[in-house]
Order: sequence, then structure tokens, then C-alpha cells
Amino acid sequence: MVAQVAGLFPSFQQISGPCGTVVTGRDLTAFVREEFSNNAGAPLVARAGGGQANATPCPNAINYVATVATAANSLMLPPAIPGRSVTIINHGANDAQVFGVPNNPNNNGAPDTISAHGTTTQAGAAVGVDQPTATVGTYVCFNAGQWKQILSV
Amino acid sequence: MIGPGSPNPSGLPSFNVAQGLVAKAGGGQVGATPLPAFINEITIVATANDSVMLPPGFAGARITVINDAANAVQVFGYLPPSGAGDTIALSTSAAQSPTGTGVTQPAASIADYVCFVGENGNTNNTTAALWKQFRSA
Repeated sequence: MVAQVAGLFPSFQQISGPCGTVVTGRDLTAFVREEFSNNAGAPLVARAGGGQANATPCPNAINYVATVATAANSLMLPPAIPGRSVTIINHGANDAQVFGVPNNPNNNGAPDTISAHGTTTQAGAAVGVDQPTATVGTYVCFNAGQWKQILSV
Repeated sequence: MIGPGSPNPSGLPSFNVAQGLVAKAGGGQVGATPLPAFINEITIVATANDSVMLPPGFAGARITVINDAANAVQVFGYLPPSGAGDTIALSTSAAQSPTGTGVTQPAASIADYVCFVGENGNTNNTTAALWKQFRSA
């Protein structure tokens, strides 16, 4: 799918994302993959020990998490670009903790934050949000550096 | 979306919608009403558990089902001519429901079905795809 997109647009150096955001550099490939292919990747394992540093990246539009060995083992969203939407399926045995990136190059290097489902407050960047086991969550970026979590019931 | 599992009639990137679908009376996976679009509105579920069926799953597919009918509808994964049928995990469960069981979707609800493992193999002998139901409050 990515190859098809690259073939259609071989001269991509930068593209305009939703809301006029310009996406360049290392995020471009990931952005194109997500926006055009809605891809799903291999099963993910949440980072043992949890925390934002070295949390397991969620590189796809649809991310299937098969293993959360201990509650609060961690996952990390890609950089928050307005209009971006990322889905996480948590089929691990425990709740996962989801973080934004600590340094978003598309937002002057500031850390991304997430607002948990049912709240209007952005959680601290190093705090992240909980995604319960057996749920699916979609994370929608509505402002540079800010995500909103939508959880299944 | 582009792919062999693209719901008809799009085939190519599109935003097609099917309105006014009628769930198969009597329910069950065999002969369940196909969901032909990316966004599907069901208006008639005459009896609870009348049935509809997702298209063949490909990784990354996202199909929306709006149940505007009076009863809960039973949603099944695609059943190929031979081989195992696709399965769906209920919104609140980490377990894939058996292909012949499907999952329920209440009346007056909307749900996305996201495919995180696509079918493999030739079209007459596929391995099953895995879907996850996503209903939000």
C-alpha cells in the first residue's frame, strides 16, 4: 500500500496535512502510511516496566496490542498532527498506559498530551492515560500536540 | 481504502454509503445480508438477531455500521466458499467470537469494525481475518 502511494506521488518532500499542517522529514513516511493506507501492523507488546521513555511505539493507523504483561506497561502514539487518528486495540491481559511523544518536532519540540475519555483535561505528558484491557481506543489529534481519547464500551 | 477486500461498489478510494439495509430474517451467518459499503445504515431488523455480514477482512479495513432499526442485529465475519470464516471480538472482550456466532450490535447504535489481521491465501482457501468491534459511549 505504501509502495502504491509512493508510486503515485514519487516527488513527495513535504505534504500539507489536515488543517494546513505541513508535514516534513522523518514523520512524512509515517504520515503517508497512516493517511492513505489505514494500515495495521504486527501484534505489539507494551513496554515492560511502563513509563514514557522507551514506551512501545504505535506506528500504524490500527495497532493491535497482544501483550500487556503487567498493568500500566506502556505504549506511545506518533507525533500529534492535527487530523491524525490512531486506533489501539488492547487485547492484552492488563490495562495499558498510553503516552504522547516527549518531543514533537511538529510542535516546536514540546511534549504531546492526551485527554482521557470522559474528561476535558489534558493529562500530564509523563502521566499518560489508561486504556483498559479488552477495549479499543481511537486517539484523535485536534490541535498540535494534543490528543483526545475515545474508548469503546 | 484500496485492496481486494474493498467493499463493493467502490473498489477504489471512496466514501461510499449504503442506506436502508435490511438484516436477514431468521439470522445466522449463511445468507446474512452483506454490508456493501464503508458506511452502512440498517433500517430494518424485524426480529432481534437478524443478521448482516462484513466484507472479507483486510488489515486496516474500517467498516461503520449504523443500526437504526428497532432490534439488535447480529454481525458476522465474512464466510468464504471454503475455509474458516472471519471472526469478530466484541467491543468489551479480548476474545474473538466464533465465526458462526458473530457479535451483537444494539438497536440505535453505531459501531466501527476494524480489521487488525487480514485474510491470507487464495480466494478459495483463505485463512480467517480478525475484526474488532468498536462501540463508543
